[in-house]
Amino acid sequence: MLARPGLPQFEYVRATTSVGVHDLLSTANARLLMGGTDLFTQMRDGVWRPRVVVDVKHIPGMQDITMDPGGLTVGAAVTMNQLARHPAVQRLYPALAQAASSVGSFQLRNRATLGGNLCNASPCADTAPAVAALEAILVLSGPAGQRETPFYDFVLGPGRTVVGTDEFLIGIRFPAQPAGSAGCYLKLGRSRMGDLSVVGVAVVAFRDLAARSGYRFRLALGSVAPVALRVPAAESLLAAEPPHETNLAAAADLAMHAAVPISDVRATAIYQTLMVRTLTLRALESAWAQLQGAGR
Amino acid sequence: MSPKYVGQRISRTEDPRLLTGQALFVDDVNIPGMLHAAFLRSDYAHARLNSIDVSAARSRPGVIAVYTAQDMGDAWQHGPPLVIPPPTIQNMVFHTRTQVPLVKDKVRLIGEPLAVVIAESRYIAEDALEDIIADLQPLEAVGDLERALRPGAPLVHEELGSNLAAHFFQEKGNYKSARQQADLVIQKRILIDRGIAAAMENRGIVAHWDPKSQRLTLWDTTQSPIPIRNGLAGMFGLAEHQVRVIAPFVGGGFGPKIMMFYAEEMVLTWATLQIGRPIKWIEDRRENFYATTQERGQVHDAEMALTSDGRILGVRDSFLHDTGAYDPYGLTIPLNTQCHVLGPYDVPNYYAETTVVFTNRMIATPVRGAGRPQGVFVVERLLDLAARKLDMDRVEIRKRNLLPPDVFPYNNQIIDQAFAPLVLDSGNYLPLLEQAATRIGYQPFIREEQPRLRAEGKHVGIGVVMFIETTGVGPYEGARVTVEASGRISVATGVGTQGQGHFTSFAQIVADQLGVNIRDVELVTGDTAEFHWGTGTFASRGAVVAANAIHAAARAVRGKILRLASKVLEAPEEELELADGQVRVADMPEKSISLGKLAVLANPLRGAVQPGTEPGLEATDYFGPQYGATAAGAHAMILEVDPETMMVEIKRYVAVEDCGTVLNPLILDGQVHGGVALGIGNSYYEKLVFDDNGQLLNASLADYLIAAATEVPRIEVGHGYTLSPLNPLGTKGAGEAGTLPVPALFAQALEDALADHRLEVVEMPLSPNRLFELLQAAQESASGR
Repeated sequence: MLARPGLPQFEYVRATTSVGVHDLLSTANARLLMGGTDLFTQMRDGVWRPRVVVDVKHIPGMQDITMDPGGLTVGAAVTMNQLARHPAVQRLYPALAQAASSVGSFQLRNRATLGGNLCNASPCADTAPAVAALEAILVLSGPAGQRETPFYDFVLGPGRTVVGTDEFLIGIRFPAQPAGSAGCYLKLGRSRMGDLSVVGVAVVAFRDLAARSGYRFRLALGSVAPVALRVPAAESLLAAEPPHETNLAAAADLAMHAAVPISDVRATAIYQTLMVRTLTLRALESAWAQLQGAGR
Repeated sequence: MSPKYVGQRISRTEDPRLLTGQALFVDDVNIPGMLHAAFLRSDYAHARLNSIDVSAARSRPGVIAVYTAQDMGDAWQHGPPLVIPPPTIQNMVFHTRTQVPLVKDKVRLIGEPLAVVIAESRYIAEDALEDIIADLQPLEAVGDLERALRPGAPLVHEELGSNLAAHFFQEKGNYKSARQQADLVIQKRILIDRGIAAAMENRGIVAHWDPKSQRLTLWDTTQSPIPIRNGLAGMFGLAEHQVRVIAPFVGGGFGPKIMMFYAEEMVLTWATLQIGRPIKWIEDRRENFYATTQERGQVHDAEMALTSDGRILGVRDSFLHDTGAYDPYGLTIPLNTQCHVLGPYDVPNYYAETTVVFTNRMIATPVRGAGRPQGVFVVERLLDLAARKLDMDRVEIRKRNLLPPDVFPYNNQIIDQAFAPLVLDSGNYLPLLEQAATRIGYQPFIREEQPRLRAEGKHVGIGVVMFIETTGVGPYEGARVTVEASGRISVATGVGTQGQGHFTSFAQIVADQLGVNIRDVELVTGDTAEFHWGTGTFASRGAVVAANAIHAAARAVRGKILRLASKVLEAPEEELELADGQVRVADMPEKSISLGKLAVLANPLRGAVQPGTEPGLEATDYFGPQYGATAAGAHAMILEVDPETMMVEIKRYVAVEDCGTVLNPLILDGQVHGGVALGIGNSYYEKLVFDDNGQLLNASLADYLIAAATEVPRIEVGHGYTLSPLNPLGTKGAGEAGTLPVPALFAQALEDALADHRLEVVEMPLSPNRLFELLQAAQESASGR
């Protein structure tokens, strides 16, 4: 029968320390609550039926943004708006700030969290391409302590991650960016605001004397594969030859060929495929322009 | 008497209540002992209901009752036909099939209700739905209109032997011979797809049968409380006076809330009669996609015959119309389509043929526009494509075909939705077109700005289109105006209100007639206990039919006031004036009496009155127009297309409207803005997507996009003022006008923006993805593949 919206009964547990949370997660048919923007819609639609909802966002550190010489650490429960408006994130990790500010609506961004967006592992998660391009490390808390996993190993497929049944994500670590790094996230939806992305492209670029071209570009695509997709072929091309009009376009072509979208009510596969090229080229040009501007 | 309020840009007096959450909506109704209903709905579009077992649901704690079609016994009946086909059209085929309260044997549309649970809370009711076992045998579903008519197609109503719901044609002149004389014939297949109205407030009902007082009260998000009252009384064997229907504040009507009788209205009324306790049902957003009527699906084969200098010789339009699984609303939508193909133009020869098709989809009933946008789209597209073939300017081809101002009233010789000949009561179309073109800067844009922007690589396009809107249809509305002892004025009318600003615009009319402050006019709408004659708020008729009824009642009260005051003040009526809540002798202001004191004198507690005297300062009056008043307008816009992503940005939007007398320009502007916003949705965002099984694939506001603030530009509104000769106020309706021309305008501006692609837009709604596909197809055909 047609799904009938309406929350089922559940028990709410507010955790202020990670002690006990792992046990609860492994034994009690529990779900984590961060911003709740996905949890409650999935529960309302009967997709998830947890008996216990564990609110972990009040565990110390979960809502902190900290900068140190090693880079940026974002607590898993930091909201999209906190991230998007953080001056250091805007300055040093523009792709992340732009991705965070492109999620849903302003009201939703007041609640939706970076950790939630990544753990949901939706193919169209806006922050996933930026997190992939920034080569973030995810910090998981488990019964035996913390472990770290690079983001490119984290998502297994739509809705599936490496997080164990007794683990939860506590933070996301972004390596320090070389001075003068550039970056951007471009999103295409069917309307200018609020729609889920049809294509998302994140680019991070910086000077790198170890690269033959003198530059390193990192490129990741969202919404066009089961997981956020890095495009190593395009990255290698731009590391080999200095960027110019022709090889930026060639890199965008490589990105297009890497994409494996599926048709749905929001967009057809062929449109998405071609839009990968368009958005990638625009993102690469934007990052390249930023680099040249910074060089002057 | 010079109007003090009518025509003024007055802020809406109801807004403080609405904005501070003080206004009563159906879901605000809470009665002690109230129960809650939830409906089990079919998740198949077409299926045989073999059996349904509700025993487990009945035994769930907190469940009061579970009902199926069988339980309703003799009370189970089809909804009554709401609108019959026009008896004046010859050779009409029309098969009436109306909706049922609960499915008895066969599911004909997705979401059709199978059972209802009445419980102590909505939570319990919804949980109990899961206890019900319905044995449904899915059948092949039909949604495509052409496929539905082919032999062997699955049948929505088997006994009819086909999915043909109706067929009729209308003719003016002789199109065939006109075509023979034509220099150019434009022939196109034109598609317009389905969407929803998406009112902010979904539907909702509280039904309360009080066994002690033997009264039924129904709070209902209906646009049409009086016919609901009369219909329910008849259906369930009650006297009309036993039934009170209240349509309180309603968060948007847009047409689907005029539909009668929804399954939920029939079932809740019957259920409260069984249980004797109040029952509430509030539609949730997902249900709204399955349980509330929709509109727009049509396939046109249209052609226009023209001379080489761009004059229309005739139009032929044969189209399929999707009525969904039932056709309670008759032919209102396709009749509107037929009429609006003629537009503001001189079309001497016209042949219109309509085939209405049953499908396994939600019932189609009017959604703001009600068939008109389709007609406007057809004629405007044909004109644009003709202009292109003739290498003629788009504004010029329209100018050459507009009806001149001296032909009115102009009889188009076909029957319209009111079953009367389509007579355009008045109009002056050329100034509207010129105003729109001038305001948008049409000539400077195409001569200077567009070439400059194109040289910069920008894809900018301009569009200018026209339309008419038949509005203000009968039969009639009524109103009662009363001067109370406090000096305040109470006004009651039968139409419901769904955000149109009635409390302000209707009060303006009364305040002017009686010389009182607008704040002293208290208006009641949509409560059958207050006024029980009338039909409802639809067809852009409130400001025409209800407003003129209120005007008539207010004038009658004014007459009573003057007669009584003349006696009291010992002065002839002609010397009296009404102002500031007083009646006074014009040149002796000290000789005056307040309306409140006069009202007390008109309603004495003791003593004798003259035989035949009516008490109080009160009058009831009615207004029914001879036929509908025709509004008109021209819209223009400039948009820019991203030639790679096909994302669109509207740079400027101009709407020029002629709806006769403007009661309140602020409210009118708001109506136009809202209408245009829906039109933009109808053009580029809002389209229901069904699969081959009739499943709705985008039944949520995450997947079904509604034009939001980022898609709707600032809208500049201009006016023409051709007063309707058919009513004393001179008003014409404006409720739907904003929506009608937008898809046609969008298509023209898109073609202009992508002129290098020789694109032809003959379908709506589009999307960035769909436009991309059209361009790919255009490129392939251009390259000869």
